[in-house]
Amino acid sequence: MRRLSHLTTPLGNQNDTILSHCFTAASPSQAPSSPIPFGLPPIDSSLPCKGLQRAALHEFFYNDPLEPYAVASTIPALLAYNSHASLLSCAHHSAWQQQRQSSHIRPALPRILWIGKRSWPSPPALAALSSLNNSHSHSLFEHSIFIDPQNDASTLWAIDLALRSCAIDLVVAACPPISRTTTQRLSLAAQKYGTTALLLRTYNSYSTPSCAASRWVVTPTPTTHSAPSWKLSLTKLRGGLLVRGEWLVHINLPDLFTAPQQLLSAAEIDPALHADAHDVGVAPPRSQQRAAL
Amino acid sequence: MGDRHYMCIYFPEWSIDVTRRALRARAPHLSPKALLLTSRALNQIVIARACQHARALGVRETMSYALAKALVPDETHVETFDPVRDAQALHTLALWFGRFSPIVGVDSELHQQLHSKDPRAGLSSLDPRHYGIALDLTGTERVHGDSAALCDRINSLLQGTRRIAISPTLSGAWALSRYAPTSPYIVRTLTELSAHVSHLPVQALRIDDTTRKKLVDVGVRTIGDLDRFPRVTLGQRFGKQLMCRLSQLYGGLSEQIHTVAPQPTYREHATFEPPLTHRNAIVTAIENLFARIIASLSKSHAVAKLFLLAVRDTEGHVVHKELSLASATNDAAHLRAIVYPIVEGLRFCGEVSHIAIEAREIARTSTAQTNFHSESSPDPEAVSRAYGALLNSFAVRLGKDRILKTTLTASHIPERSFRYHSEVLRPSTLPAALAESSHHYGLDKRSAAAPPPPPPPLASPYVGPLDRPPVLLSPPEPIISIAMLPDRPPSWIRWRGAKLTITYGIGPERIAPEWWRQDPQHETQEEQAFYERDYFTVQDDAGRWLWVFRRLDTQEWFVHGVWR
Repeated sequence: MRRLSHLTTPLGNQNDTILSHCFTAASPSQAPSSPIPFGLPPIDSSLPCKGLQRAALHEFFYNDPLEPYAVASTIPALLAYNSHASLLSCAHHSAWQQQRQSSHIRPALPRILWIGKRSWPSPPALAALSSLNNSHSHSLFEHSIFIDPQNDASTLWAIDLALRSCAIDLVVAACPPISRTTTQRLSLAAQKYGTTALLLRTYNSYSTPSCAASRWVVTPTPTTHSAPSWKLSLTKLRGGLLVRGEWLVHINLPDLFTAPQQLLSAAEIDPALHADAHDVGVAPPRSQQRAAL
Repeated sequence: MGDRHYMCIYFPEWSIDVTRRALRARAPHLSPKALLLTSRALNQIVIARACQHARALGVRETMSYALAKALVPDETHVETFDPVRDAQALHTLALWFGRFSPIVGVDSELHQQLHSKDPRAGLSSLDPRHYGIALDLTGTERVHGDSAALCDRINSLLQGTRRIAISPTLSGAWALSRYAPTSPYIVRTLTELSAHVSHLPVQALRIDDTTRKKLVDVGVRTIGDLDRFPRVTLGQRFGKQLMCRLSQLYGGLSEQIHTVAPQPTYREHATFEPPLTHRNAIVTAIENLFARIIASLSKSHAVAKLFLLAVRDTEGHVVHKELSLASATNDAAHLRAIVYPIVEGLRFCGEVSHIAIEAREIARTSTAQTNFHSESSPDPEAVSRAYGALLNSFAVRLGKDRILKTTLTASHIPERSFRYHSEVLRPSTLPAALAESSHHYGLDKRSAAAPPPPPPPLASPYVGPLDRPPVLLSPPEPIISIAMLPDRPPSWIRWRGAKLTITYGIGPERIAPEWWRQDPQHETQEEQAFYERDYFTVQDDAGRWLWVFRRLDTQEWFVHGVWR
């Protein structure tokens, strides 16, 4: 078997090249190998591919006993923004190319699908996130489509269908409880069609095994900073057995007079300094009335 | 060859009649004494059409609305003049007249404007005399009998103001329907015609206004006056148009009716005797009908957006299913993938005797040439097709109102600062949609009330304060809380059954109702009344950040948003 494949390698390679040329025409993922960065240097630099792998499944759990059915929203939204912004430059380039050829064809821009009401970030917050970087202002907001399935079965069906469409770049879904087999099926679909999925799952389904490429747990953490912060823990990373990490992420609440460049900042939590973790990261000052109790 | 027979039906108050009819369907309790249609001319609102009652009181076209309002009684209904809707309604009525003659058309001027590039501009300035229908009745006597009987029949079927004339020439029928003293007015032979039209004013010849003025200047007021002059001098002095119209009036020059053609319907049905009992047989029959309808669609280069399926059993029960797609298609494989799971999920009871399928919302296929060779860039056409297919699948299984996009609206109230609207149900700008809306007139008993227009999106996207929570709870969840002072953050709150100790708080930020709106008591159901609120951003000892507020009128506390 091995010998046979060895024999056919040169020809096979050629064919593969031609085929891949054909497929680039229909597939929207311009750079399937490029990762989705968090945009937070401490996290990105610790990950082997400098971000989340594309064409894969990633799971996020929100760990708060008061909100057992809640799913995280800020971090997926940030990832959606980064995924969109990186693809958008490709899309703009292709749109420009298209315009040179024929002016009547509209460019096909990557789209983000938010499946399940609980995964929807509030539109003003999404718009604020979209407007952070002025060069792609409001593109994420305009290319977000919100799907509201009636029940768990429909949600799963919608996720599966969206993963198999070449018009969708990223699927963010409030995922119902699913088995390992289902995650495998979704993972294969994502791999085959080059779509990335962020599954937002409830923490009580954390113990179910899964085929996702990475698993993240978001836990609210008290800080002395006057801004919300979370502990972001990477608990599984496919192809990066030794990579584990915990980071403290906080929102940089903007000063009213300076343009915000980055919504979040992150710092790695050193296990030795875990007790002092709150001092990591600097929150910029805010010109608003505050009252510490 | 015998004489030809043309019938012209003129609707002097067409726009008023259409509006009145739509109003009656929309609000039957209203019975306005007068009806005015207004339009915008430069920077003032003027009267475009007025009903007979208002005209009797002195209201005229192009009069300013302010002046007209002083003349009419209080119970007057005022609406914006929509010439395109009226013209489309007339077009639909012309289609209905197809039962009397195969050659039916709307007035040629109206037809020209309706099919121009900008129908709205052309129709708004169109003379109301052109709101009429023309029929060629030649050879239909054996079907309808005498002309007078036919006139009576049509008269009894129509409502609203109308004037009917029959004449051997189209121009003659046009002139008599607009200017004859009585209606219906029938002229049977060409030789009689000149006697009947001689007393009509020269405007009845459809000449332009400058020619009419020139004629009036030399004392020519009626068509009969023209006969006193030699034709040669008339042509030299008043131009070709007048000669052409005179020839058309007396039958020297033939004239065409711009016929209206009905939209082709795509409908397939099958009757089963003996009735189908087996489920597989029913599903196969439906599949065959679908295949036939798709074949006929692709044959005429059409795509459909809505498929209606009706399955009737032997006891007369009918199962209806609407398969409404997000984008029009005639792609058999795609339809098979999304429609058949639905068909297989249908429940039939008893034996099926009749199945019918109809394709609606027809559009033409677009055959734009896309780029043939693209190496690095994705083919936008393929991607948009895939996107359409995905939305179709979602629309059929989940429903069109569950595929949403969002727009920001100009409001500082958190829950009103955005709105979700369907990505699929976009207001269509196609003329086909207009034709469908005019379909309601007279022929279809469905209500003519249009759905409310979607809110206009903001021209420049407004981004509110960046310190709003990423998750808003809808509706806000009530909490119990204790605050030391009225304008300080709470010290502890009880939310979802747990007691949270607040360690940190920012606020208050007061959000007041929009004073320019109506009284909050009378706001619509979907938007609940808004009262003044004081918002606080608080952190509890476990690190949760919540956005809580206190209603100032009841002093109740709520959690409105969470940072997570």
